[in-house]
Amino acid sequence: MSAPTELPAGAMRRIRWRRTGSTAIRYRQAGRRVRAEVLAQRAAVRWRPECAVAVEAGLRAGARVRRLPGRDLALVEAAGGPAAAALWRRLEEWNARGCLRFATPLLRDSDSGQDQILTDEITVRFRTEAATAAGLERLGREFGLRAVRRNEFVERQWLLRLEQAFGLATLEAAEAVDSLPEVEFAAANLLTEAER
Amino acid sequence: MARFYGRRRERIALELSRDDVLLRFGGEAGRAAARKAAAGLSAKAAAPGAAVRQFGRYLLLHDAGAAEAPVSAAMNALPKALGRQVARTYPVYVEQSSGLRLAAGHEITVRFRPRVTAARRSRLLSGLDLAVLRENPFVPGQAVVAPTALRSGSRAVDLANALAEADDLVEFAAPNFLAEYRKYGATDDPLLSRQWHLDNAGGDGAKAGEDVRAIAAWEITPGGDPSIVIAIIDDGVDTRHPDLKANLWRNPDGDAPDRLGRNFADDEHPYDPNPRFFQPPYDDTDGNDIHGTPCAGVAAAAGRNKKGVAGIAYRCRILPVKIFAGPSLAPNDRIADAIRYAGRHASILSCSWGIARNPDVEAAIEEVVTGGRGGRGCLVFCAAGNEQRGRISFPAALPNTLAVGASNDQGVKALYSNWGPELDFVAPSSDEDRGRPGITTTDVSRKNRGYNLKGAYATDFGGTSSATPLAAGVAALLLSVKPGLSWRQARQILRESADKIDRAHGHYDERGFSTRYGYGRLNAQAALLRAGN
Repeated sequence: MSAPTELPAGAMRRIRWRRTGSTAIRYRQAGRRVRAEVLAQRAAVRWRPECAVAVEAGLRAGARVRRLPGRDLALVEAAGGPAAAALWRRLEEWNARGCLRFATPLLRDSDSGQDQILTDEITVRFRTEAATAAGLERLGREFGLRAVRRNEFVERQWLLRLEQAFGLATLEAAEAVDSLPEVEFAAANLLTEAER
Repeated sequence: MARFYGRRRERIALELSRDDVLLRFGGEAGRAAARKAAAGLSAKAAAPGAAVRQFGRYLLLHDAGAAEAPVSAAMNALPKALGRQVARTYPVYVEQSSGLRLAAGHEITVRFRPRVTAARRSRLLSGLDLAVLRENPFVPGQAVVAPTALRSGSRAVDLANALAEADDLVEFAAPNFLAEYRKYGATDDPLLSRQWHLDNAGGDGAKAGEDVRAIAAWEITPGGDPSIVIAIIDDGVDTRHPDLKANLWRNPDGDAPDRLGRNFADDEHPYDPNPRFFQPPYDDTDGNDIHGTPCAGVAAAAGRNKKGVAGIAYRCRILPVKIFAGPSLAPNDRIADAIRYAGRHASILSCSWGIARNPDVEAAIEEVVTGGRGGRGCLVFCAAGNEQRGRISFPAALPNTLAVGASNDQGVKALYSNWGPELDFVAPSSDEDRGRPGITTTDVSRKNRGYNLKGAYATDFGGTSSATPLAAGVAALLLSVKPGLSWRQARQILRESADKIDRAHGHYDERGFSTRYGYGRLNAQAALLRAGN
């Protein structure tokens, strides 16, 4: 792990085989290949309220922290390579102690060049309404995904949350769920930058 | 003072205007004197709000208290030498049903009934001190008559009414008004002359005619039909804007919480689609909710309301759907749901933004295109992007959206406008890199917020962000005249009726397609004419 912008081993554990370069990854989204760059020096962090003071103070000691208005989310930017490695080590420690809801790197979509925040949410649309109940139960059991809400407009579509999502785990889970026979599509619910 | 003319049972109501007067310049040089007076008064700008129009030897003067010279600044500003040449002044009325001004001179048009003898005509006219000025060359028995002795003021209305009362002799009689007219196409919005994208008259280096042919289109459907709703999916629309609020969609379900639209950017205010987030600098797009309001104005700002600007579809409705808030990023599922929501209430969706590709957003677009408008499909207009690159942004690049690029006031592609095989057409917009002007439209009306911090209208809006709601508005006019069109039929008409601009560099192929211009620049008039055939 030579590149300073890389994630720690724990965060990359299951996605390593798809890596195409020091920071570039490929993943499948609703059956389509997506290329992205992992911006590991920038992390999106949502901490648990009981750890808020300690985590925020700890992050501010080595990085710039910006709270996103209305999103209960902080964007953390490490100054450089060693600082980024240190940031992810600290995040890994806090995660192990159960202080974080999620900590994820930012992604830069290779096609559009736009930055996206990976969160802990996955959108899943089941093929049929009948498959939904059993499908949700399976996703909870096998992937640790919990239902957040049913889609207001599409009854067989749900927003799910991956507990303590860390690194690229949400992408991995979305890809795995997308390949299930009862699922029409699944995709990480990214917070997306828009060009206007 | 209320007046009438016409027969008792067919009276047309008039209101005497205190602020208008018609001056008639007499003598051989009456016409020249009227011209000189008009030029002088216009140049002097005798009083704020004063306006002068010349018709031959007549001058129609509008100014506060113009009908009473002592209180009219404009009347008093008339040079004495010219003032002496004013032979007569006439009252000006406002027709109550139309609001148009009618200046009553001394002439009356009268048509006698077919078998009325010349002697009986003559007796009737002389009894009222009237004489025939000229017989109508096309209609036997019709003539223009006038009092034999001109007195101060006009009695034309009274005399015409007296003639009309002779029901057994006269078919009709009416003052031969100098009538104000309203061009059917153009609106009375004061900033319309700056909206070159609608009607490019040239000037300031612009090429006349390099526009979207709005005025001509308005002669076919003036501003479109209020049943056509355009969703502006963006960072909110200022629902209190004086030029937008009249055209906002209102939920027909009186119990629904979404009275004016939805906010998918902020769960705490889900039914308030107004701009909410501002931070310095307040005219910066990325940090402020100031982008949706100009987009809404380009598409459907209220027209013919004597205020600000006119949207191209100025009688259609705007559905504000908020998905962005300040600098915050938008979750894909909320963008997708915003599209789904818009597809339930609007015929046309306008998306002046680009994001990274996402399957949920793609699915939502597919849903509204196949299921919207009772199965005829919503039209989803998306910005091609402003990155000056040969790749169309997502979702504009999807096959079921309509990708809109930008052309400038010279009739060539705006430098920044993205190009590629997915481009459908271009529409007029800014081109600041070439020093060409931006788009005049509505702006956030809150003080010190918006692209123009000092007012409720922006003059420098642009990009494919502006071209997109303009295209959406053209489609709204099209659906106003042909609501039964499927989205594919509408797209086909818009493509086929587009102008092939910049043929020298456009490299249009045998299908009429260019990667720089798509099928060309939208032509609203041609689209409506094609739809009519």
